[in-house]
Amino acid sequence: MSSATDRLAIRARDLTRSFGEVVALDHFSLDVWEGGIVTLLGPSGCGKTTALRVIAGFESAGGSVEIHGRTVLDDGRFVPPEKRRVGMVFQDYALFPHMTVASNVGYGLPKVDRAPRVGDVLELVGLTGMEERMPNELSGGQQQRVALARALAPKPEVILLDEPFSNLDASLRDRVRRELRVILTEARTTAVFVTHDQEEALATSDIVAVMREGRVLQADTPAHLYANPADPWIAEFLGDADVLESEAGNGRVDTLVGTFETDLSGRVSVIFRPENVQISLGEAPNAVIAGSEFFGHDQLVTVALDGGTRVRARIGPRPIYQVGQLCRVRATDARIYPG
Amino acid sequence: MTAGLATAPRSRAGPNRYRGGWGWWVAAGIALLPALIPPVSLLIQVLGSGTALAVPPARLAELFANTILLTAAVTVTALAIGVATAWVTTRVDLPFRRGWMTLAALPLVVPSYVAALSLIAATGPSGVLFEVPTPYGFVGSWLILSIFTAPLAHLTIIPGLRAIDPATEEAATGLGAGRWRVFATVTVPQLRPALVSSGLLVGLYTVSDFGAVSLLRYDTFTRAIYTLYRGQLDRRPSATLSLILMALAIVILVVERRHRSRAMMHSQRPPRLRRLISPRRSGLVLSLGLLAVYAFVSLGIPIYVMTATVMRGVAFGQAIGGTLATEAFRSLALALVAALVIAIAAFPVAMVVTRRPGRLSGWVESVVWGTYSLPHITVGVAAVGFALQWARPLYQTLIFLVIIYVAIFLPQAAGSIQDSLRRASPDLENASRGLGHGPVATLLRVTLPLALPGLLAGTALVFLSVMKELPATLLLRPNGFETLAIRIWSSTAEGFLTRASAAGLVLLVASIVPLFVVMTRELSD
Repeated sequence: MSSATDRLAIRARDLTRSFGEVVALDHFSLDVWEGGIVTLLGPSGCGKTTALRVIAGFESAGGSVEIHGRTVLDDGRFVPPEKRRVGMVFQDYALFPHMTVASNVGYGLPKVDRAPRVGDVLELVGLTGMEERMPNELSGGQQQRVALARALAPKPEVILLDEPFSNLDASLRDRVRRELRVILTEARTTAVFVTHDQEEALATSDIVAVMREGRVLQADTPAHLYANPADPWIAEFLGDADVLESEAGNGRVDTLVGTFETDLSGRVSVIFRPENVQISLGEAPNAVIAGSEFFGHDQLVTVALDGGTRVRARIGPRPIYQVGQLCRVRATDARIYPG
Repeated sequence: MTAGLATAPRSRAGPNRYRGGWGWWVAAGIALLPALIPPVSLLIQVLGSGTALAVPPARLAELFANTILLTAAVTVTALAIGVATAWVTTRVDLPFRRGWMTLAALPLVVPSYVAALSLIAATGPSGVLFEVPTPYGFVGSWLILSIFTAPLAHLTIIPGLRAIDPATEEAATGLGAGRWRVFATVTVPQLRPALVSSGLLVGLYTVSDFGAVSLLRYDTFTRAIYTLYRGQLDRRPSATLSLILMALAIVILVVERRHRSRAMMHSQRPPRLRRLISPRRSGLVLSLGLLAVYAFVSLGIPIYVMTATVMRGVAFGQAIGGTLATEAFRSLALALVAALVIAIAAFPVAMVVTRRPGRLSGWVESVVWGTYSLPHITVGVAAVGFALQWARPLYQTLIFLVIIYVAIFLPQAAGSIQDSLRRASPDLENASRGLGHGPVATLLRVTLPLALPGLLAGTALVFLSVMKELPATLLLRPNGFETLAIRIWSSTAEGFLTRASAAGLVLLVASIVPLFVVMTRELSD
């Protein structure tokens, strides 16, 4: 992913910050390579927005932050946000309600030659011709694009985006997300997103950093992360997953849905993703169909194993199973964790 | 009683309709009649007397100039003080911040004539504080009115500051703007609606003020109206001036309402909480210093001056006035009776406005708030004219005085009750009816308990206002019936500062409890 010739756009080390009793950041560390799109993913309250604000300079913290090699936060140093050249798109956009689109977008630019740059960046986001509109006349998607244009106009080294899609209608979200990714790639800007939506994180990013309780648990490409979660919590956070407990030994572990290789021994948790679970009829049954959800392009079928544990299988739109049908369930892949 | 209540506020255009009888409309109509007296009566008086202008144009121009000059000057300085106190108590992390916020609003309880009394007693050849010549005229009026109307700006700017999304200021910072540029280009423009509103409120108050300008001998409309009223048998000149002043006040009022409704169109959802600025030592000293100085000047000095005057007067053997106890009792009793009557009268008006929104109730609201905004001296002149023309037996009776209080103060109580009623969904009343309770039972068991906090606050507010009221009471009271307000004013005008100060202290003490009720509701975060 990165090579020796790539530069580090952001280097955050050991950021630590509490608000009263609440620990927001607990030795948070992150490397962001130039031109990359990194997403901080985690549940509410995990500190991802705080991490973003520390990088931008709206909060202080213990630890250090370097942006393109320049130290902006350190034991002895705090560079204020207006001097950091970091663009920020806020969750509720924070457009200046009393200024036109053009004034909003041009706010961070010097007065001379403002108009051409404003025109260029509005074209980049697809809002040519909207210069004289006021923010309250725009739709949610348009406001978001103005916020993006405003952050991009001064050509910042890095752009930070705090849950930029959470205020958009679901129908708009996918389209805007894709367009945004194209814009950022064309502008070759390093971007750090923050979100709690794992689908969005996996779809948009080069690297996803999963956060919990103030620190990064695992940072990797979406495909790698999804296939190799470092612990059961991450596995369950990133997608659907079911757990079976079993005893491992002699290089393998046996479960009701299959046998897998492992170096662990003793009590283990075996985690399956529904797309790796198969259902078949006509063989010796080991489960009963307990229910299903139909999504059109696929189904999520829940089966109950002997002993009552439930496992889910993701299959195509056909066949449709009946509740109560006996079937055989097997898993083709699993991750095994101690305990 | 409060468990499980639906509390989502509904918009006026939304499903806020209460299917019921016309009883509320009738009751509201009756409650509104007094409010119609002043403008109608004045119009008839002036128009009926022919087209000759009863006041020489030169004099008219002079009064206009004086009034506008004072209003403009006071607006500027009161806003400056109010913005400073509002900013510091909203944005800066001070010790006892909420306490300072309340303290800065407290001078509202000091009537302008008491403030003028303090200035007069503090200065002059036998002044308690400085032996400088008393600044009568423009300077004194401007000083007193600026200091004591600043809380109006303070109370209006605070919600304005709170409504600004902190993210917009952070966004500006992130785009490279330094602290002053953020303030000038992002904060102040978003504050503009609140600034304009406060300016108009302060302007309306200054234009209507009678107590301070009459004692400090500055000739604005109000003072001239009273002088003409007292000095001449012919009531036309004072009626003419009253009408002009009333028109001026209505213009300000219309501009304010138009401005308020336009500002509300742009209001967005409330922004997330912001963290307070932790000041450096110099900022802390400056902020606390500002607040302490203001509290000292607006509250400390009047109390000290009045107390010192009383003590010195007693030492010199001057009489405090044997009638003080009677006047105090009269003020309290009158205020209490008026407050109760007004609360009862305001209830149907509040019901009609909240539960039956529409064009008609919009008119009701306009009439009610219209009369509230009229300068009290003009209301008094109009009421006298009305009584002498059509209701002789009522002239100079307490009953008529209370009726005129209803005309003036009904909106205060109605507004308070409306707040409470709006917080609760009208579906509650529908639910009660659906469960088999008739209209009266619903009223007693559902509506009244819901409206109770507003009723109490409204009653306290009106009580305070009636206690402080001066010009209308001056013109309409029965002969020999003195309230504390009148005692303070007339004694000051005649130079009996000891008697005035004693009465002033009693008035402030009597205002404390209702004030407490009102302030805790006003400033709840």
